[in-house]
Amino acid sequence: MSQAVSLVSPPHSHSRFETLLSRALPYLLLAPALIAIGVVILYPMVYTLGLSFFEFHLLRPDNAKFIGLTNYSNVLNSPEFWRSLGATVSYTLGTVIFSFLLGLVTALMLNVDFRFRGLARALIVVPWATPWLVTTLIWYIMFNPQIGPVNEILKRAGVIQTGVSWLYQYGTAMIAIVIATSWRFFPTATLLILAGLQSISPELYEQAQVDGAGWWARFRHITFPSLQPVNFVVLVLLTIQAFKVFTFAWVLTQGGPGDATRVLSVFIYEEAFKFYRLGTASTLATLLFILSIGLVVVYFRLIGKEQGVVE
Amino acid sequence: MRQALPTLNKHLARFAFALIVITTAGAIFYPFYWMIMASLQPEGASFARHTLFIPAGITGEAYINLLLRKPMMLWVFNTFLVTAASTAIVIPLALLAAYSITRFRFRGRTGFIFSILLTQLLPVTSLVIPLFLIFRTYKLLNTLGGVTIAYVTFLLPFTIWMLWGYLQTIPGDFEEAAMVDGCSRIGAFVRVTLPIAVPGLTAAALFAFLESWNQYLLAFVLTSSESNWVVSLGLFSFTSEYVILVEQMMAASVIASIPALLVFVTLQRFLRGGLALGGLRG
Repeated sequence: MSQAVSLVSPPHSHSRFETLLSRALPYLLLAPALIAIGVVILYPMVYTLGLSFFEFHLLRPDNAKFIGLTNYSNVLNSPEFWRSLGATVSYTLGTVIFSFLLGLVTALMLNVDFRFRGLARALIVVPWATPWLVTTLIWYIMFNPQIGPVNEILKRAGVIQTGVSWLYQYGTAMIAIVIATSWRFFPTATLLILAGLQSISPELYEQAQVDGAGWWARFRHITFPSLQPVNFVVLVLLTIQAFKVFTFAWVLTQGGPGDATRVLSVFIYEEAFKFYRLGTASTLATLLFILSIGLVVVYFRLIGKEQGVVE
Repeated sequence: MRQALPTLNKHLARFAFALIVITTAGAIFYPFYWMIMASLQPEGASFARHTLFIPAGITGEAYINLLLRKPMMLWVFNTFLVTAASTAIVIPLALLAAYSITRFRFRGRTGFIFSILLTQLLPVTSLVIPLFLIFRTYKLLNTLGGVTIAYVTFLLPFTIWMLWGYLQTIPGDFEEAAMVDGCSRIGAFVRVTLPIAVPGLTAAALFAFLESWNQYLLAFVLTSSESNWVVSLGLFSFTSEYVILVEQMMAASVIASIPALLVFVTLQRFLRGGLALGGLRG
């Protein structure tokens, strides 16, 4: 009896087992997630990379041919790719700037104590809570040349005489999708900037009041400089988001007119599921991913430290 | 006299401020307001297009016709199913992983965190091609099971990230105290940290819900028949029709918005601090 007990848990081997277990524990806890990530994310990623070296047509999968870096040189030499990258950059920049400004203005407003602040805050967050497809449909109708309220309002205000086909002509199509996307994106900027505003010490303002600084001087010398870290986070996160958006450009303009709004994500989709050129599409996807990594590295370097990611 | 001028200025400033706030809030809320009003207009009478601010009349016609003409409720049901299944898969995996990187310092931890960040920011577009081919091989195309697996790809890293942020706010002292009292590491986690983490888990699950509700591209590529659509695909189908039934389109949008808005209202109280950052994903 006593022998059996000592066999089952001899003191020294028990502690060795314990240390082994406690050393393995973090990895054991991580294992299920790691396996899932490996199967559903890593494997597809490697698959894309592999496919990017092949000529692969969806309808003729047996004719797949290894062609090395040919896809890459084709893509990098095609004006289509560079125009798409250009569209992506203007879309991203437009969306980031517009969302940021809207976010800043609304955050400054919500930072003032007024009677319906709670209500205003709730209303401003509504676009964030609206499902993406609903947002795109609303704006699809908003900008519609025949029935859209945007034209109607502008006409009544006397800004335009005849209806503008916002989504179907060069120049305005990009503006329209930037407005729609920013409507969806800005509330997050508002909330983050508002949190930043509320963490500014009131003493700074009291001191400025004593010194007789006006509204603009207070904003320029206290508010804006104090917001720098928050602003930075907001700008980077907005950039990373806008860079990869598919839904807005696809639903509102399908990349058109011509290729005016054909951002990279739309370009990849069309290449893969409209022209069935999965090899080239994978090459584009890989390039988009590399560009995203560039953005992530910036993000990680600059704000990762603050969040305690790097030790 | 010297007093009166600043008071007048103050009143003017207040008035100007109120005007700016009302205009801005109005402009921001207007598209949403218009959607609701247009969905309540009589169909085909083109009232919607002339309804800029005040509706001409209110009727539920568009809703009734929508529900008769399109399997809207089936799409909503499918979305709930896929969302519930993918959230149920993701939450336990993410919780264990997040606990691991919160409480332990080990070799490979930073690498893991970096790769989570990386995958979380990975464009869905670059995953959809291989997923399509893999699903074709394993006969998962056009099945709700396939869509569920696809949703795990973007929900998992995001949920780990969120729960990590949350668990960091729970001090390890409680667990240590429980372990001194004779609890095992696992026991301390289950009995002490887990109950405190319930709000964080709820928030993560609700965010996962919103993310799935928003997802469009994956379902678009991976399902084909109408009976397997999720709600975002159903909505998109309106834009490809020759005649746009504005009222029905907006009625469908309202129906699709309701669950998301309800979840969002529930989430409001979690939207402070670190969780707001997670919400910046779309």
